[in-house]
Amino acid sequence: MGKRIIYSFLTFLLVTIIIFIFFQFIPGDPVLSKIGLEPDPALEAILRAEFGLDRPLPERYLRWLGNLARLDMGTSIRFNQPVNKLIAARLPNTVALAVLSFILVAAAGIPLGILAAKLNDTKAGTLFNAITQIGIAIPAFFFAMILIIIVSIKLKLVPVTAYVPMSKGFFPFLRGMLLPAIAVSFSGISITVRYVRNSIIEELESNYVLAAKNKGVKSGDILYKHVLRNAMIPIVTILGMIFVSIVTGSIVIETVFSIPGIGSLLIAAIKTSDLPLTQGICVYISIVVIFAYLLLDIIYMLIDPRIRLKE
Amino acid sequence: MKTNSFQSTLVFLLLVSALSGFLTACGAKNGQEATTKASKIVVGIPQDFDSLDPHIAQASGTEEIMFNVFTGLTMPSTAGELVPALAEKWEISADSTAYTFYLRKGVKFHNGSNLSAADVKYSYDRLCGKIPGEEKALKSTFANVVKEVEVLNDSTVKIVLKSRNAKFLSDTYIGIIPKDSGPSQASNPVGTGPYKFVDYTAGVGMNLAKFADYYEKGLPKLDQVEIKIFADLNAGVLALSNREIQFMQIVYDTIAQIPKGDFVIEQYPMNTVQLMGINNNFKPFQDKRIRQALNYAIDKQQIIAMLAPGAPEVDSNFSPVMAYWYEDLKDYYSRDVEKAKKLLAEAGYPNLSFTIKVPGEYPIHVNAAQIIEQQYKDAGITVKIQVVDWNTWLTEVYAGRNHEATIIGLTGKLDPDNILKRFSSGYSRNFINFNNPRYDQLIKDGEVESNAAKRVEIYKEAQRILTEEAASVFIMDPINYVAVDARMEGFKYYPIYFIDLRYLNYKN
Amino acid sequence: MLKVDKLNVSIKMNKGLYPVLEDVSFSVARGDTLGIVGESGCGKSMTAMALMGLLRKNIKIVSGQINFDGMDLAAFSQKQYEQIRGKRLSMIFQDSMSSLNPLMKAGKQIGEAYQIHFGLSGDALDSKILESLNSVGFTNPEETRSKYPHQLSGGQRQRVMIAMAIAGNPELLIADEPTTALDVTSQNKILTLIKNIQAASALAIIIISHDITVISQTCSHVCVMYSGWIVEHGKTKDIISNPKHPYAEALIAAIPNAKAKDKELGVIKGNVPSLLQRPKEGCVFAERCKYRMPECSGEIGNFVLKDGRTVRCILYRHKDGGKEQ
Repeated sequence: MGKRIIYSFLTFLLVTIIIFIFFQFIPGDPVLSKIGLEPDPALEAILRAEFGLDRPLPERYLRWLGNLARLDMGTSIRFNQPVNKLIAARLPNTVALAVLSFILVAAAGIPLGILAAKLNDTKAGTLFNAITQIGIAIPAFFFAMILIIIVSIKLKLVPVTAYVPMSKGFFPFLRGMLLPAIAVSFSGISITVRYVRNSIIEELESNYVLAAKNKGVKSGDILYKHVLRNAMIPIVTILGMIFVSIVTGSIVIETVFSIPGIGSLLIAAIKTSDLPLTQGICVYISIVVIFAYLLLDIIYMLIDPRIRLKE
Repeated sequence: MKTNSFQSTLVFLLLVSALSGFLTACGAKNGQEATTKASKIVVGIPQDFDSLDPHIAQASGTEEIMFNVFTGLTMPSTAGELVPALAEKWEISADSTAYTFYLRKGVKFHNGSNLSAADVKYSYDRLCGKIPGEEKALKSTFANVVKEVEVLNDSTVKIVLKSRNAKFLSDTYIGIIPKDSGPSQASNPVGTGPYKFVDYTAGVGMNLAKFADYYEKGLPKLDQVEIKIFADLNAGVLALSNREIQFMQIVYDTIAQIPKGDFVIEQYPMNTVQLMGINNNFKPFQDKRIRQALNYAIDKQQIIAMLAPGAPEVDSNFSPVMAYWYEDLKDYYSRDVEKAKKLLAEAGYPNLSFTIKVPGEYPIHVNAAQIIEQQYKDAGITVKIQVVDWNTWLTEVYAGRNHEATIIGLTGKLDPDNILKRFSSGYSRNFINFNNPRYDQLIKDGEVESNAAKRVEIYKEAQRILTEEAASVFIMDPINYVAVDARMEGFKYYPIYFIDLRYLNYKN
Repeated sequence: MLKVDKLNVSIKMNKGLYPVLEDVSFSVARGDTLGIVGESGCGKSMTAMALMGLLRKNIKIVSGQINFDGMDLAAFSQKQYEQIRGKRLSMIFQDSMSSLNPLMKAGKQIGEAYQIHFGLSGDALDSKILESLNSVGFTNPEETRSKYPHQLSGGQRQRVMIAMAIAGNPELLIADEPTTALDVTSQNKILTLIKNIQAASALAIIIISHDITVISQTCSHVCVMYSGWIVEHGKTKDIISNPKHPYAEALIAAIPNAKAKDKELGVIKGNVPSLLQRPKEGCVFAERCKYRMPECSGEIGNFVLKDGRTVRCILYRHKDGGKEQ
């Protein structure tokens, strides 16, 4: 585990250096972007000095790293606000969207996967397979648009812009997140259903299933008492990968649903060459991903005693 | 086996029904919301605010909303003239270097304090960087021009300029803020406008509420304004068609998607000139004959018909909307492909080829580039189109002048100096590298000319030069399309970016 | 107690139906131990699975009877099987590693059987688990019960499996290659354990092995299987000392013999034919048989010899008192 954290940290450092260098080569200047058309000449010089853009690159990177050690990620050029503050205002939305989507993936994907496994070799099972195949193939933003058209425009169940800040109440907030979460989780659910189904079918062929039947365990009990936990081991890895793809997938979905999350902030930051903000967001995303993998390891250990022994 | 699959089907059905129940409950609540808040308008805007501080904000997208929160000494009329606002009237000294403003009586700020001359002095000193603790000049348009601000009495203030400046008055629409409120404006904007600030969530939007003590009695009409940011235009249009927004600027392509009976599409010229800016330093474009050929080879009416039907055609960098200053040069270049070919041949470029860099964020410019590409084929001109993002455009084309040609629209201003100065050789963003001594002299003269009639003549001549020299290919003043809820009335438009929310109201 | 009569089992593959067991017949009485021997792929394990009702979905009993204490198991549904598995007939599987649930502690896996068959729970279940572990030879059952399968040695796992299999006091126990993966010492211990269990409760046992020496140590009777057929069936000592069927003869000859170390191993030439290549008619062993005659491709019957054994070989039509069944 310790090794893993060190590796994560090194990866993270590398990523920040790459972003720093990358930003030097992509066209676009943050200050020119900020001052836009018909700029006030006074402003340009003020801004360049204010954001230290007149300093050499290595110095800027080291200064940024030094500030990071003090948990200060600098000031966004585009928004003129501390990066921490901007992210803090939006992170809850992204995390809430990701967690809600993930809960949907697990809560719908696993039971439906079990159902699909049970329906294996039936016509309903074939239909199920076809649906999940479509679910994997449909891009999230396309599905989001379909959802908006059906649920919001035609059925008028939820407004198109249902987002409400958490400060205005948890329930309205959750309501606003539901449709986006469904859009984000749809392909994840489909993938989970397929993997759960295949994993269960594979596990049902195991010798310990025969041994359990031999013991007198009823067929129905075998699935829940023996097979399910074994079948979940590969699923945990899949769910971990799905979580990471949810975090990245929400970038697109946030824009479609006008949710002020990290994703839409990142798009704005990159579009305006706002290096401090881009770096800050990458730091946070890294933390979320590292945390997710750490959690994954813990879940693994809880499920599989063979891993516990090795650690 | 049977019982178990039955169980999980049951669980699944419960899950689905719980979900749809949840959604239905939300839907019911949403419907209620709509009926109880009749005196509210939701305005959709395409981008976030760059700053809430009126002295720091630069973006016209910010200004057009914040005009409702902040008021300056003057403000524009729908005809584009300066009309009294916080100043009831003003006097200009004989040498045109001192402006005395007489403030309207009984004006209150949103925080309850009364407007006084000290607040005006504070605001202008702050813009010039003369406030202890705020020493950075916030706008060079003031810092370079204003010498000092004198408080003559509680309701009279005199602004003395460093030298004569004819366009100074047109900048006085800048918001006046209460004395010493500068540092808190970015988080809690306080002005004298018709609406007061309630809250702002970055990336989401802003809430405004009617200011009961607004100096014009009976205004504004509506109690609440919600500004919603739609970074994705499609999402905005969807919300619009679902009637979650009552007011949003849209583009021509999306008009078809908006339900006819629910919305009125207001159309008006933007006071923006869409031009194909050609780099006068690019080798072939150094020759005036080639620049003229480009003007002869284009079919502006076709572009207008395809991209903005009804838009006025232009032949210089000036929109007919600003009639007072406008020099009519219409049809100076009407389409003549043969003449274009002849000019090209004479100049030694019978097979001219060049690249247009267009910002991808603006479909109207990208589409125009594609139409021009086709039109120029007739004259044997080959056009390559390079789509770049806005930030790259600002850096490479606008600031770096590293291009052969580009298509862009530059927004209109109240004063012609702000519009025509763009092509004077000393201007930092003269991205077409136009260099004409006579033109430069006219711009210099116009800045200080206090005789209105003479000033008009100066700017008309400047417009003629741009056309005769074929400085670029000026195309049209595109149409602004705004979708306004059909239940509303009182929409007014201005020749500058200003969404006037004062008169908007629901019809009875 | 168990009488298998002309059991035919087929597998569905590529839309075709291929026989895997053909006319398998044998019987076991209470207290008896029957061995089934043959090369891998000959149908030994398939026979066990058919008896236990654990055939995979694509494998079906086509005809024949499995008479167990008056019931025909061949016609049993899974529901009916659930009533008797573990309780009346039970099985020990060949691979102890994969046959134990890797995520369940040994004690719990044994306990599950006691829960099902005796409804035990709490302290009663706990003490039963310890007693059971003790009875299969664990000296420290308290520690063993809380171990996961991967923490146990092969022999220990096999004993856990035996404890699981006999928890319901079955009348018939099938042991499929119970010692294959084990070293010689553990092998002997396990065989001894099985013998002791039989001695204690007089249950019928079927031991399946590819290793004739294991059979010879434990079984009174033996069936020699080849390619889905029982080719010779009789007393173990008769068959080992004097195999009649050419395949049995070759199999016995292949046993490494300490006395005949220098002698070349009697390796049987060729391979067991795959399911698809099995001859539809005649003797399945004919292709590899050194006594092959033209008649071998015709109809072959079972011949009962005068010492009581059955041989499926045309050679015994008139030999050793062979009488066609």
